[in-house]
Amino acid sequence: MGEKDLELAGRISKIVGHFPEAWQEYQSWLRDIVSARSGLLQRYPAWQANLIFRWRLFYFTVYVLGVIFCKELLAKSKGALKPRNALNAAFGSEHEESATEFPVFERFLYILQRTATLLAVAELTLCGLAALTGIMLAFYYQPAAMSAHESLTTILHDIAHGGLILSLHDIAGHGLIVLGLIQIVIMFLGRQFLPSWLTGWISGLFLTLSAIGLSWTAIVLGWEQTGFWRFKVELSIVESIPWVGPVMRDILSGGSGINSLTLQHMYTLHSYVLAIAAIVLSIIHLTALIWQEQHWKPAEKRFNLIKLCGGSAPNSDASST
Amino acid sequence: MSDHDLRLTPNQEVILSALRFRRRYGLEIMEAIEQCGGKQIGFNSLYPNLKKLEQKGFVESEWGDEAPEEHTGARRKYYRITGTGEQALEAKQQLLEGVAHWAPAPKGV
Repeated sequence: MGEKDLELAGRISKIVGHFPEAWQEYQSWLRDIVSARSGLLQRYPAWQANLIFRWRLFYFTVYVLGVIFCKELLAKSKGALKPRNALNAAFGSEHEESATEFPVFERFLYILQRTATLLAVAELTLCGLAALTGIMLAFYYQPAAMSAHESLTTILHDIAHGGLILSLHDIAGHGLIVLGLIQIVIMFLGRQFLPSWLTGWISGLFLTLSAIGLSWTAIVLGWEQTGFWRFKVELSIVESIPWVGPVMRDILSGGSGINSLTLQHMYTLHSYVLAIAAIVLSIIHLTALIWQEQHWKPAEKRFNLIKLCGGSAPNSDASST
Repeated sequence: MSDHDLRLTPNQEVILSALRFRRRYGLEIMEAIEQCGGKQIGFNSLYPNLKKLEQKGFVESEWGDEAPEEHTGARRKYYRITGTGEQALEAKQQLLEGVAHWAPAPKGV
């Protein structure tokens, strides 16, 4: 039992030892915890002494790791205030020897940046795919209570490749939501507080919201039992919002009941309002991320409209070799 | 230095007093307080307090000569009071004296 506890202390010392600064500051604390152990064992029964010893070790670990975390956070937030300078320092200066091996954190940011761009491309592709298949479906789909389900059955069974197109439309829609949510996490981790990042962030949030909206407006379009009742429940939730609820219900469903008019409203929102919003947003999102990638290049290699048009770039003296 | 913040919490005051005449390490400070019948300071508040005192410049630390501990490789740190630390204790003493001797101003009748 005792040996195990001492091993635990050794392991903690190894963990904290990864952070030399904190280890310098706090190792005497750990030492005293270990050397006070024999005193504890004399004074208390073994189980109690072990409990106190472990509690001290636990508190020590949490405290020191907390201090390390806060310091890192502070250093990072200081760095984030002027990221462009930091990036220039890491990549813009080619004459320095350290240019090839930039810091781990910068590399991490760079990987996140490339991942975000890749995801944005995937999102735009999914949007395009959903739009294309949506248009194909719209050739045969009829947004009316009596014929919506029938027309979908026709698409599924009678139209050539109808099932394929319908399932592609579904997959693209769901994929868009999944990628949008992943993208939010990735962009949050790689946050840079540049105008380009902010554009990408906000457009990404709204893209995800509109993807969720697209999936929600599609609930009732199939005109099946599950979709119908789910929509009824969720519409009553919308209606219970104070002040604006009843108005929103009317806008969404076109009245109190769920009927052909509801279907037409949903269809319009789904295929015109939200679909166009999603496409526009995903284009803005990708453009913002490509724009942000420019910051990773040295100043003279950046895309520059003025230089393209034959004029001289105004900030070409940023890093002269 | 006159506007230096010399305030001490009760725990910090006891720790500082323990360091007044000799350098000590953390565990020794706790033992000293305990043996003298003071309210025991837990492990969990002693070291953060020492760190605060060091940041304020009331104590300085130095590594001890002992070998590192065998399981953790941790070394022992000794703390020593500084001039500012003595000033802070002095200020506290003066406050106590001042409070003891204070008398209300006679009400003019």
